[in-house]
Amino acid sequence: MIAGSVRKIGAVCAGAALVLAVGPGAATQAQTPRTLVVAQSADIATGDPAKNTGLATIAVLANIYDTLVHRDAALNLKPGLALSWRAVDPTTWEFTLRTGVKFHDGEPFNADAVKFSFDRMLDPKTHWPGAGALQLIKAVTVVDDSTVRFATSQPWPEMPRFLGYYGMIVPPGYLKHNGEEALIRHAVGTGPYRFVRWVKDDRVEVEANPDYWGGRPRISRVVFRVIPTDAPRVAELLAGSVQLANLLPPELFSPLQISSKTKLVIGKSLSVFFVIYNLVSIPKDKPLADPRVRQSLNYAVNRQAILASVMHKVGTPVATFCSEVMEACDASIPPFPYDPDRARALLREAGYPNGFDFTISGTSGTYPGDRDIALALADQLSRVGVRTKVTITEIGVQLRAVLDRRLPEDGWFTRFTDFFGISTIIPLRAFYSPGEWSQWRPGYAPFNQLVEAAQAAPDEANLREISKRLQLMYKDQVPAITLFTAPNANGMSRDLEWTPRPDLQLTMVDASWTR
Amino acid sequence: MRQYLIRRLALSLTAMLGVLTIVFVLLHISGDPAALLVTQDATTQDIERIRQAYGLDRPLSVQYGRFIARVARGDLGYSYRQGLPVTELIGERLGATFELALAALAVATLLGVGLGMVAAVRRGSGVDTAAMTIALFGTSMPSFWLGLLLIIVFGVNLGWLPVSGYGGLDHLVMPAFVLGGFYAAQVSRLTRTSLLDVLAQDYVRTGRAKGLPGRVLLFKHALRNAALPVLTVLGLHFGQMLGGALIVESIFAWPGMGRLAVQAVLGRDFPVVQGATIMGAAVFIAVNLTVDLLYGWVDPRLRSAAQRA
Repeated sequence: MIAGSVRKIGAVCAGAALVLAVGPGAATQAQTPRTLVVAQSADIATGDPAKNTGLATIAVLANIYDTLVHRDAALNLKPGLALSWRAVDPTTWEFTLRTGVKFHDGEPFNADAVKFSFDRMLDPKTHWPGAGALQLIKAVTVVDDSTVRFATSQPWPEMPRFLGYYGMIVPPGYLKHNGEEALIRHAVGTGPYRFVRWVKDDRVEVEANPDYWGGRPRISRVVFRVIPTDAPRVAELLAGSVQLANLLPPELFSPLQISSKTKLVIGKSLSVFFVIYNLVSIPKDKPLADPRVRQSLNYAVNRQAILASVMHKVGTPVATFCSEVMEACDASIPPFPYDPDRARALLREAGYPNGFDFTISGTSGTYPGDRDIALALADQLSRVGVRTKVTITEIGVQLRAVLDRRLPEDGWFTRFTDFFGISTIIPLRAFYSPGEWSQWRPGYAPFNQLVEAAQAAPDEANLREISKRLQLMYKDQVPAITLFTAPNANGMSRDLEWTPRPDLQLTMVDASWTR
Repeated sequence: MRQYLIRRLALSLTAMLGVLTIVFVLLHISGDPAALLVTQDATTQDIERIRQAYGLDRPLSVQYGRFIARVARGDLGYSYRQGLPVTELIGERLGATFELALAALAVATLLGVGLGMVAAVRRGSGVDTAAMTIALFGTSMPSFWLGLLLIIVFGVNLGWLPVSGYGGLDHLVMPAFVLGGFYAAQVSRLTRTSLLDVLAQDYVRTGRAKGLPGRVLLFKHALRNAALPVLTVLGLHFGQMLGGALIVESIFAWPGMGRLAVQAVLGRDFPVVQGATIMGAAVFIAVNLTVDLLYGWVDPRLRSAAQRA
C-alpha cells in the first residue's frame, strides 16, 4: 500500500514533469548499445523455475530455460525442446524431443531430464506453486532417449498449450551434484541465454548461448534491471540507459510518445478487469441475487469513457470473461453497451426503482489504473441510482478475505490473467463455485456443469462449442461487472525491435536492433 | 560502566522481543502468504499445500513458540519466496544500505552542521534567513518529489548522473543527497538553536572578553558543547537510515534493506520481515549505544562522572 501509493503519486507528478523533460535539451543519443537493458518493476524471486510462478520471475527465466512447447507472439504453438507431439490415445501424449541439445553446463538434454523435471515439479515436497495447473498429469515415462509419454488422469487435449507456459526443463545432474540452492542462485537451462550474474534487487545479467538450438540470439548481452518505481523506469528510457520497460501505467504513456528516442508499444492482453460480485450465500431478497440487477450494473458502465479518461484509450471492452487472444473465445458476442436507461429499467423491473447501496473493494497501485477505474465506476453506477462506495484495501488483506469468502464488500475489483491463453480457465478459477477465487456460492448449477464439461472436453472443436455456451450463459447470469482488457504497455527505445507477448514473457531471443 | 552496559543490553533484548512479538502478531492477522505466493492459476490444493509446507496451518501459539526458539538459536529461517536463508538475503543488502547511509550521514552532517553554524553566527542577518529557508525546504520537500526532480534534471536532461541503480560513486550522489538532505534540514535547525544557547553562556562571554579569537571560541569552546544534542539526533538518523530508506531506495532502484523489508511485508514473506525487523532493531540499539559512548568522548564531564561511579 505504501509502496503503491508512493508509486502512484510519483507517477502522476512525474508524468507531467517528464513530458517537460522530453525535448531538444535532453541528453544526446548514446551510440547503439550492444547490451540490451530491460527494466522490470520487480526482481526475480529465484533461478529455479520449480520454486515460483511470479510474473517477474517467469518473464526472465524464459530466456534461460526452455519448455517442451514454445508459443510465438500470437500464442500459436511451435516446437520447443520437443520437435513434435501427438495423442497416442485420449489419455496419453507422446513428445518427440530434440537431440543434440545441451544444458549451459554441458550436460546433455534428453528424455530423462524431462521426466526428472516434471516429477520434481509435481512432487509436493518441491512446493511448486503451479503444480495445480498440471495436476492432470499422472505419470511421465521415458520411452527412449528422445521420446517421453505423459499419462493423464482424463482426456486433456489442451495439455500442449499448458506446456507452452509451464514446465521449464532443468538439468538433473547439476541439481543432484550441487543441490537446489545452487539452482536458486545460478540458473542453468537450455535456453537462448546463459545466466551470468544476479545482484539481488538490482540486476540479472545473461549472455547469448552460442550453441542455442534455435540459433545464436541477435542481441549478445541482456541485463534485466529492477527499477521498482514507474517514473524512474520511464526516465531511464528517456535517458537512453534502458531500452525496454514493461507493464507501464497509463499516466506515463505521454512522455514516451512525445520523445524522439522512445516509443510506446501496446501488446495484446490476456488480462481482464472485473468487479466480481460477492454472491457468497447471498439471501434471495438482496438486490444482487437477481440476475436483472447484475445485468443492470453492466449496462450502467460506460467502458469507453473509462478507457479514454483513465487508461489513455488502451484496452478493449470484453463481453464476458475472455479476451480475443484466448483460445476458443468467441469474438462475435458483443460487450454490454452503455445504456443507462436500460440499467434503470432493469432495476425497476427487479423491484429497486430507487436503487440500492453498493460497495466495491478496490486496490491502489496493484494493477495499472486500479484506483481510478474503481472510482470512475462508482461515479457511473451512482448515476443510475446504485449508490456506490469504494474501499481501498491492501492486496494481501483483500486476497485473504476473498479466499476465506469473507469479503465485507458487495464487489471485488480485480484483474484475472490466463497465461495459458484458454478461454475456459478464468471461469474455472473465478466463477465455478468450487473454484478457489470464486465468490459465486452455491452458484448456478448449469454454469458449474458447463465448466466441468469444458475441463473434460475430448477435443478442441468440443471445447470451442462448450466455451461459446459458457460465454452466453455468463452474459445472461453475469456474476461480475465485466470491464475491459488490462494494458500490456511497453516503453521501448526506437532502435529496438520486439513484439510484446500476451503472456508477458520477456523473450529477448526475438529482439533485435534496427541499427 | 560495565553494569550500565549490562543493563542497557538487557533492556535492548526486552525491547527486541517486544518488537518481534508485535511484528509476528500483526503479520499473521493481516494477510495470507499462501494467497500471495500463488498466481490465480493455483488450485485450493496448491494453496493448502503451501500453508502446510510453511507450518501456517498450525495454531498461532505453536508458530510463535517455534519462531522465538529459532531466533534464539540465531536461525532466521528461509524466505518463502526465494527459498534462501534470510541471513543471506539480509547480508547481501547490508553493503548497499551501509554505503547509502554513510554517504547520507556525511551529507546530513556537513550540510546540516555547516548551515546551522552559519545561521547561528550570523543570527538575524540575511544569511541566517537564507540558511533556515533552505532548511525549511529540505524538511518540507517530499523525498520522492525531490528525487524525481533531480532525476529529470541531472539524469535525463543534463545526462550528468545515472538515473538510478547501484554501481559506482556516481550512482550514490543523488540518493545520498536526497536522503541526507532531508536529515540535514533538521540537523541545521538543531545546530543553530543549540549553538545560540551556548553562545549566550557566561563562559563564552568571558572568553570573548579575554580576547580569544572568534574562530577558537566557536570551534573549540562553543561547537563542542553544542554538539551533544546534534550528535544524539545524528545517531538516531543514522540508525534509521541503516534500517533502510524505502522511498529513496525505491526511486533510485537502490538494492537496500528498505526495499527488502517492504517487499517482504507486501508478499507476507514472514521470515524475511522478521529477520529485517531483528536486524533493524539490533542496528538501532547498537548505534544508540555507540552514541552514548561517544558522549563521554565529547563531554569530559560525563567521562569523569562515569569514572566516579
